[in-house]
Amino acid sequence: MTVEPGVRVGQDSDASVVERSWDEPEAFAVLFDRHADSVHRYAARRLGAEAAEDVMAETFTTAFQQRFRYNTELADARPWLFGIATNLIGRHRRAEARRLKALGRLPPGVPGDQAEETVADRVAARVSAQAVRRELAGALARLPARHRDVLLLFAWADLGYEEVARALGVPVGTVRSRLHRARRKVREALGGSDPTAFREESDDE
Amino acid sequence: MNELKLLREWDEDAPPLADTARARARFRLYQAMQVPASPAAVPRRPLLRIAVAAVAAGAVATSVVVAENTGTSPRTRTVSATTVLRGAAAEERRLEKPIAPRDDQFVYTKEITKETPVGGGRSKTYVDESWNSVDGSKRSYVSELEHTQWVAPYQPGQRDWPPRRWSQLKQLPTDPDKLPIALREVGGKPDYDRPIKADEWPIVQVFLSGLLRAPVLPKGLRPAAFEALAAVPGVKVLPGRTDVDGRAGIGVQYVGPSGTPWANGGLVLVFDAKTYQYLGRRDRRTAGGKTYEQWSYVATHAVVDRVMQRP
Repeated sequence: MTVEPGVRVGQDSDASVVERSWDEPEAFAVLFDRHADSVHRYAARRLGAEAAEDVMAETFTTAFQQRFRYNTELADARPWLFGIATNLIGRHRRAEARRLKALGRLPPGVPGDQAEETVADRVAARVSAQAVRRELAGALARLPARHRDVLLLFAWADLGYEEVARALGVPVGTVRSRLHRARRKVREALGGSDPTAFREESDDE
Repeated sequence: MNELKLLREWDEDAPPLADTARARARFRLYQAMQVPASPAAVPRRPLLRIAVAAVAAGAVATSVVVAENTGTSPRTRTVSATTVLRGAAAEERRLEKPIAPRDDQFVYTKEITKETPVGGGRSKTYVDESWNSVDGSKRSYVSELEHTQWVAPYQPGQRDWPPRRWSQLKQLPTDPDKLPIALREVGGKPDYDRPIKADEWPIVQVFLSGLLRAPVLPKGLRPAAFEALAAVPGVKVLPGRTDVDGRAGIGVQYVGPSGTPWANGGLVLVFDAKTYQYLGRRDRRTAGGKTYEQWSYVATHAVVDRVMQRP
């Protein structure tokens, strides 16, 4: 039986779906249904919701156009899709940097924009959560793009070392060293050895 | 570790992908499908390319014969796809035994697929019994070419298009003029006053074919889909007869404009040559470097209360 648009998630491996789409292009929609949400979420965290829709849509049209190059021995297409998405995000490098800098500059003490944030301790918790976020954004903005890509594929796309390597087309050893450096820099930016001590204050939020 | 934990908590409660954004992105994907495949495709699928090219050439030749209507050979004077599909719709309306499942029930189907390797080899017949949750709130049990598996309930916000859940199929219009427009909107609010544009027909066709692959449809939906398909430019009767299991049949297939992914044709719907009753579908499948011709039909369907319960 052939796969039609709308087949439920999980009925077949991604690789089989890609292979079927070689004869039957519509089958590719299955891959969209499986992964649109996670690709969108990854892009939204990196660029904001508006640009994310565009990056997500373009990730799938690009993947579709490149479907004949897919290595069908690799059952899971996520590294491939996130690799494409990361490349596309690369075209928005300046926008991403602006966004991170803006987030990094948010003045301390802004208690969020939600009306219900009135109770004093909640405000305090929110402020420290925001402070962490500000530090994080600043640290991410200062990372070299190739280190940031590795770190965020790891943290936001939930890929492992091998998968990040596949996504970016670099050796696993390179992924390990970039990740190590990126994490160290972020850790330092968060104030040293134990950033969760900082976070603990906001756990009741 | 800590900084990774902090990163993972970043924007944890960001709004999920909105339905409208999803539909827009999905539509962009479908538009991309209308662009010719990259040349890199050719060396990878040599056998199939040749086979499909032959089919496409056949379709083109037929249309020429019909258009010129030379009348030199009575064998080439075939009925039009419109006649067959409208006849099939009438026959379906006459014969259809509608079911009315409750949301907590399952639609049981038994489908038979006979596969024959292209270029010779033994045929194999698969019997697939499936139990699909009517509203998708329960686990379904699905068999495809005798590969069986449990399918998890739908998550909030999870959708397919065309819909597969009975509860959603029921909401599609059974008016053949409205159905293509509803399908075009990918679940959005249909604008029935806006006619379908030339470049939207291929995608409408994809959705109609997807809908017709469903083994069972709510009352009036399959006849409406047949009639809607009759209006799609590029839907043609296959040359000669498309007999199945010793029964005289007529094949109807969509062939898209050249340069589109549908230029080679795909799914063939087969109808009884005399009554135009819908018999089943012919399709192709490629796996492990081999191409198979498939002939599939629904042997039985019923409403049941639980998985593994047979009528």
